[in-house]
Amino acid sequence: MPKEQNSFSQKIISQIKKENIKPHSKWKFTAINYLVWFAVVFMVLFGAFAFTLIITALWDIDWYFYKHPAVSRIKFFLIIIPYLWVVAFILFSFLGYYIFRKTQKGYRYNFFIVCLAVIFSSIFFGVVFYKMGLGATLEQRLASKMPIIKKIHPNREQRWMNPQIGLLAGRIELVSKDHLILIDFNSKEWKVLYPDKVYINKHPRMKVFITHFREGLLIRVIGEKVDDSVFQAKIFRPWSKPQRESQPNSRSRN
Amino acid sequence: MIFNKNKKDNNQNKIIQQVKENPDNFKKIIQVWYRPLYNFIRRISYFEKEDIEDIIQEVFIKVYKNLNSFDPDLKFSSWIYRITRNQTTDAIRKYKTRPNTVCLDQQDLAKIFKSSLNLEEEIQNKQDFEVLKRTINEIPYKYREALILRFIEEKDYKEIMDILKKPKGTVATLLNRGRKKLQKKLKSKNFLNN
Repeated sequence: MPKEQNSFSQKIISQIKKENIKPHSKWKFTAINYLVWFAVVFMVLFGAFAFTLIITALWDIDWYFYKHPAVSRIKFFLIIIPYLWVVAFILFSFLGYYIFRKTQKGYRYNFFIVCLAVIFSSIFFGVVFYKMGLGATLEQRLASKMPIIKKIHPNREQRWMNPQIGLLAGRIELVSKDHLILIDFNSKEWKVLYPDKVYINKHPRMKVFITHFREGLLIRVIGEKVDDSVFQAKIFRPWSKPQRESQPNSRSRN
Repeated sequence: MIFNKNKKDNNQNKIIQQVKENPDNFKKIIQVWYRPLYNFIRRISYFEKEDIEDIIQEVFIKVYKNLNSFDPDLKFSSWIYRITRNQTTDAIRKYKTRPNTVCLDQQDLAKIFKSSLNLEEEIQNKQDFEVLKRTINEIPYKYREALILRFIEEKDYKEIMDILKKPKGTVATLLNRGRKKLQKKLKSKNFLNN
């Protein structure tokens, strides 16, 4: 062994002894390793919660609006897309991937495989949570505990309280021949003018729905704000999504 | 050669156990790895002898402190090379104002160019080596590092994966692109005919 090398090793050993350097204990590394894995699992679960909230929001879509001439595509997507949860889902999936790469052997796996594994795990658990009925509960809890979420991601009621972009909803207070009085979710009174007769006749479903108007019924209206408390309606829809549109009842056809 | 390497790694596992029992046994690890690590740092960095020794000293202290984190699924050589590479990269970052040219000798250069570009005939004289030396310093660091690990340190793909902490596909891409960049540079200098 060269003299130089020998003195170098001696120098290291003396430094270890002098500074009383000790190898870090095994449990420390094991704990860090477990922590990293827990973080991966948490990210997948958070992604799953975000996905549950996405399904909950999308399940609420009234596809009637999608091809309606009075509703632009932009307005339709404004109504339906749960932006906050989509962003949260992407963020947690990315963090899941990133932290997985920090596990002991995470670097060995291909980028796409890890991404797909994280995304599909979140989707799988998201669907499971949704089936367990966690979606609506979670949405309500988050909105009540964190007002900021309510602000960023308006719930259904808030989304329909946007007369300036043509969306209005509330309870019918009075039905008259050419208009109705609507009390919105902020207890504000609106005079809602019916669309013209020709327009109503062109949309038979709306025609039938209008004949069922009664006091106390919750409805959604798409149209235009005319005045501070006057709204020109183009489309009327019930507040609750009609069951038969989302889940066709095969028995009724027989 | 491979047999020797495996044997060396198995021995290292035994030595690790001994070091945990008595720090004096750490000398064995230092003695086995001092020279290979010294050369490795010299090849991937532009540091002088004193700087390299400082880095190695920090590497061995780190190795000692982290002995319990060594994963036996990994080759000991991959683990110690990884620590060395990280320590060197940190040092390079720290002294980034210094000129970024690696110190490869003629033998090292011949290994890279002959193995990665199948150059047998072209390398003939000292002038050629000067061209090769300049060329390898012109390609980005990440490719240079991968080529050095593959063709000078003679690491296989799995070992390079473990040292660089990158997936196999990325390692293959680094090597392929590194080769192509070298070829392109040499062609532009009329060193390669086709």
